Amino acid sequence: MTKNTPTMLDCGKTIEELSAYLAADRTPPDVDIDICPECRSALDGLDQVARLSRDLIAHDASLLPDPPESWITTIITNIAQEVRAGRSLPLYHENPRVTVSITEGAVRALVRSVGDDIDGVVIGRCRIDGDAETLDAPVEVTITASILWGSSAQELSDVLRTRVHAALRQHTDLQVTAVNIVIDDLHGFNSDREVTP
Amino acid sequence: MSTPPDSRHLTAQVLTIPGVSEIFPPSPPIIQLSAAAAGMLTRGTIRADLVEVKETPSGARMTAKIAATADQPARETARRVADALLAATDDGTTVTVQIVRIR
Repeated sequence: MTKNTPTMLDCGKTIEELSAYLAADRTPPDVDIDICPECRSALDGLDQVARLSRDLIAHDASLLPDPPESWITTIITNIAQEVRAGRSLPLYHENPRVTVSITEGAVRALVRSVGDDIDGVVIGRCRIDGDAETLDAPVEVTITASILWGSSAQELSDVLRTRVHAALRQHTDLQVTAVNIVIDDLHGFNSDREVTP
Repeated sequence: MSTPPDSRHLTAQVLTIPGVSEIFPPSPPIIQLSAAAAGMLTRGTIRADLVEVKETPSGARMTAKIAATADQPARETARRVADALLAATDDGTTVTVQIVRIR
C-alpha cells in the first residue's frame, strides 16, 4: 500500500487500522489516532457506516439482502479521501495579526454528518468548487448521495440541501451560491426480488 | 524583552472557551512523539502544550488547532479563541487558529 492508496490518510494511518481500532472499541487507546483530527473524522464516518449497515440488516431481514460490500467499500473509500485536511478556508477576523480558518476536511465531515443524520440518506461524496481560499469568493457545493429505496428523491434532496446550506452558513464564512445534490444510488433494494406495482 | 506566553496556560485557557471541545497538536508527528514519550497524552485528559508558541525575530507566533462543538457557530468559536490568545500577548504577536473538526 502506498501513500497514494485511497484508504491511507495523510497521517499514514489506514482505514483498515482505523476499522480494527473501532471494532476493538478503541481499546487499548492509540494516542496517534486519538490526537489526529483526520483519524477522528474517519472514525466518525466508519462508525456511521457500521450503524447504517446494522440498521439496513435489521430493517427487514426477511426481504432485504445485506448491503453490498462494494457499496460499503465505496463509502469507506470516500471517507478516507474526504477527511484529509485539504484547503484552508478562511474566516473573517478584523485584526490583521490574526488568521482564522477551517479545514476543507472539517467542512466535508460536517456535511457528511448533516446528511447522515437524515433518515434514508447516505452521503457519497462532497466537493467544494470555487476559490474557497479567498474570502467572499462564490463557491458551489456538490454532494452525491444514496437514498433508501422507496423514499422520495425530491423530498430528501430538498431536506439535505436546506440542512447543508444552513450548516455551512452557521459554521463557515463561505459564500455558498449553490448546494447541488446528485442522487446517484439507492440502498435497501433487493434486486432479486420481484417488484409488484 | 517580555516573557513569552506560556503554552500550557494558554492551552488550559482555550479549553475553557465556549464552543471549544478539544485542541490538537499543530505539528502532529513531532509533538505526538515527544508528548507521548513524556507521558503527557492520555485519553480523556487535558493535553499540555497544544497551543504552539514560537518566538521569531518579529515577535511571538501562536498557533492553535481546535475542534469546535456543533451546537455553536464554529466560525465564532474560532474568533473567540483568536481574541483570547491576542489578549494574552504583547503587540506584534501573530495568532493562527484553525478549526479542524466540528462535532
